[in-house]
Amino acid sequence: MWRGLRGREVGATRPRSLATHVRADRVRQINLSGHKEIVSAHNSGINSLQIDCTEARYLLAGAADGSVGVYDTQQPTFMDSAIKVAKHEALFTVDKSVPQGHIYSVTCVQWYPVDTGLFVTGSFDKKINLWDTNTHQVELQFEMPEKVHAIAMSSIAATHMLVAAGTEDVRIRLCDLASGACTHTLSGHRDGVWALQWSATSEWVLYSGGCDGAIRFWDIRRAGCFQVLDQNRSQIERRSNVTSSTQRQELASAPVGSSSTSEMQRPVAKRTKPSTVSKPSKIAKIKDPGVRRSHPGMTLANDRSTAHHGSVTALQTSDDGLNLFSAGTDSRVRLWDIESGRNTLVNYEATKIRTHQGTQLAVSMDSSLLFVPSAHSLQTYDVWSGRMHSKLVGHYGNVNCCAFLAEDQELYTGSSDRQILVWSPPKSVTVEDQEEVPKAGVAAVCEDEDAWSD
Amino acid sequence: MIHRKPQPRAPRNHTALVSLPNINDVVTPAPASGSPSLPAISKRKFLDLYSSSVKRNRVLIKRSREDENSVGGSGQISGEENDVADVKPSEESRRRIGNELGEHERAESTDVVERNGDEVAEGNLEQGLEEWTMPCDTKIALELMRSQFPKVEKSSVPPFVLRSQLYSSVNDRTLVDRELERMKLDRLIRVFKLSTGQDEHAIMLMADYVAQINASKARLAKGKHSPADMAVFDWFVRHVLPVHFDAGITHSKLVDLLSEGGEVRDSHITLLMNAGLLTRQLGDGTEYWLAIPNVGFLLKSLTGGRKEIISFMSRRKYKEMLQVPLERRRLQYSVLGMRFHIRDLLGLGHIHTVNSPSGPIIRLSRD
Repeated sequence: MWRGLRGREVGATRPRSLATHVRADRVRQINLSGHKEIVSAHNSGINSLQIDCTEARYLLAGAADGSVGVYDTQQPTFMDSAIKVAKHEALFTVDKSVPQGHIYSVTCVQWYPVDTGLFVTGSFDKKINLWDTNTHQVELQFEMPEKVHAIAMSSIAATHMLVAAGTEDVRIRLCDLASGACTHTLSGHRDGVWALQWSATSEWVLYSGGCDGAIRFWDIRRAGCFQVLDQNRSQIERRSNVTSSTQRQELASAPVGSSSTSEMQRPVAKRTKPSTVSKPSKIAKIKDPGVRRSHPGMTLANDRSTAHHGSVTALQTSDDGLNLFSAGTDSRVRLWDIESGRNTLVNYEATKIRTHQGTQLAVSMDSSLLFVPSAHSLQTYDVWSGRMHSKLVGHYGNVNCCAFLAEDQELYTGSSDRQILVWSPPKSVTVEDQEEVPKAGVAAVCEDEDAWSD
Repeated sequence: MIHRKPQPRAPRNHTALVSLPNINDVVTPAPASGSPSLPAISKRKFLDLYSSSVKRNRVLIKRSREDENSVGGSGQISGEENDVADVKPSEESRRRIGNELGEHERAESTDVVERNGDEVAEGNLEQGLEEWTMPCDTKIALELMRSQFPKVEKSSVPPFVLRSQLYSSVNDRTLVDRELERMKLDRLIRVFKLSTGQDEHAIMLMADYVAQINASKARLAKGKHSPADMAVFDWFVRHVLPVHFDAGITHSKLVDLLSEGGEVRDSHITLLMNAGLLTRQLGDGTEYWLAIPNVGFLLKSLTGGRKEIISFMSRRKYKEMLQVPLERRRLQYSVLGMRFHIRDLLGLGHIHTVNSPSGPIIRLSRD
């Protein structure tokens, strides 16, 4: 640590590398927190958790009894002095007693990405509510035809305020918060949609995963989906992650879905090494007769390829937006290359995903660790090798959801046992402890010397 | 056949993650040209050195013949990362499969991975006449388990290996998946979806599968089918198997591929289904799974045996047992043998082994 600081001071290391290193170290030591607890205000299992995107401070939790709670993760409500544990109680909760509040299980919660003044919740009572955080009242309500399983808002959207909603109905609906109406329906899935995720690079691109095992990519500006992921199409190499900054900007600014699928794949084919496996088939793809070009959405609507056997329960993009993680009820987690739409064949061993509704995955900030709820535990995996790094055990019920707080390297999990647990790296040395540390170290050395001298 | 449990190795193709040291650095750190003081090094010694240094990454090593008797100079030996394996099957191997699918040895020889000429560093290596490869873990495990496949009297199914069994002996599951994918694209193996679980697959050598197809064809030929109908088996082997690698196939694609052989009628597809080569996918009338003929009896054994072992283990006091006495037990509901099931369950994660002074203990995993 001190050597690292020294290195940064004299310029031996890059300014950011120390911070990255320390963060990565801390994430790997994550375990049940001994100094922070969240006092759950819910009477039944927690279905969904989210930390707000603006301040990374407020935790939103939706529970199966229809209640939604907001917790402050920074400022504890009181300190349990006997065991030195900071307790965080809910700032407020809203439930069915509020007019128009949810009467059945809340399955998904979402902060308004721009500020913490609003949040959106979806529930099994077929409603999507927009809440005002300050007045605790429902501002807007969307009626859905079926139970709502997933909602998502794009955190990078600058031109739209759409909430994508996945229900038991086969169609995905996009609800506009600005107008209070449903603007789009996206049809293509053959069964309910349990997982939704907006692209991290383009505000128009939406990923969806359904009970039919398909993962579809949508560009909301045009009809139909533009890609269906197929578990049998795979690439063995990890595509080189080192895109130059210009390329990255292109990626971010280029309308990903606007070009036809075949056009999209051309730059990928160029960028991959000439020797990779995927290339020949890609060329074959480009030479495909132009049926797809004429109306890509309609042809792909009939594409029945699946990403999982069984239903897709969760989708999560990696931090750089290049990869997509998906979890399915076949107890597999897959890692997809978003640009090529191929399965990277990373095998995350021994997960147990037994669920009847959508779950959440979480990725650490540098996309090195993946957190997967697996039965009563949460498993952490190394992203690129698929090896299990650790198993976080603490819940007494099925873990349904998790949210990662990148700033503090803390993880929050919600489970059917009604608890929200905090997982954090071991507590760092506090200010008053710092002076004692060197002394303790010296003492320990002395003791050692004594022990060995005779 | 190697009768040892293959050791876990670093993945062969992780160029992005593992950087292999240059072979020259391994053998002779300072390649001074023509320095006579360098000790001669034998092939075996070289392999030891190299394999230990690169943590047994699979390498393809080439040497030129003229250097063979005076090995030891620098720059005469070189290996390269085998990341250039062009898995897209070559035209040659396609022809080979088409003509001589029955020959196992031939199929095996396609495993020699062709190098990409661009990456050869030194000119003299390009004329390398001798080449050999270290076989990959998955292939060794596959061959080992294939050879240990229990002999079942009642059924005539050629040996197959479950994907979970491979996981039990090769540590790195990602590596297994990737190598299987390669072998699948090389037409060495076929992967079948099993009906016993959502994510379970059986792996069979291509040659075994073709033999099995021929066997079921011969069985059906005794019936009243006309020889014109029976030709569909040949079409299946010649036009579908070499091109289609997935476990499932849509009706339209199947007809499309078969029609390269001749005019396809519905009776042809019916014949294939009767022979057990195709089964309908549940809930989707237009898709089929490719299947192993006559495998139903063994699959029943598989599920029965799994259940039996798990219920037996869960009734024991500490839900554990030494591996050796467990392997000696006989199974009532399975003909597949204890070893087959233990490997399967280990790979599935239902049981795990714990080392103890008196040998490995098999313990039931919790939940």
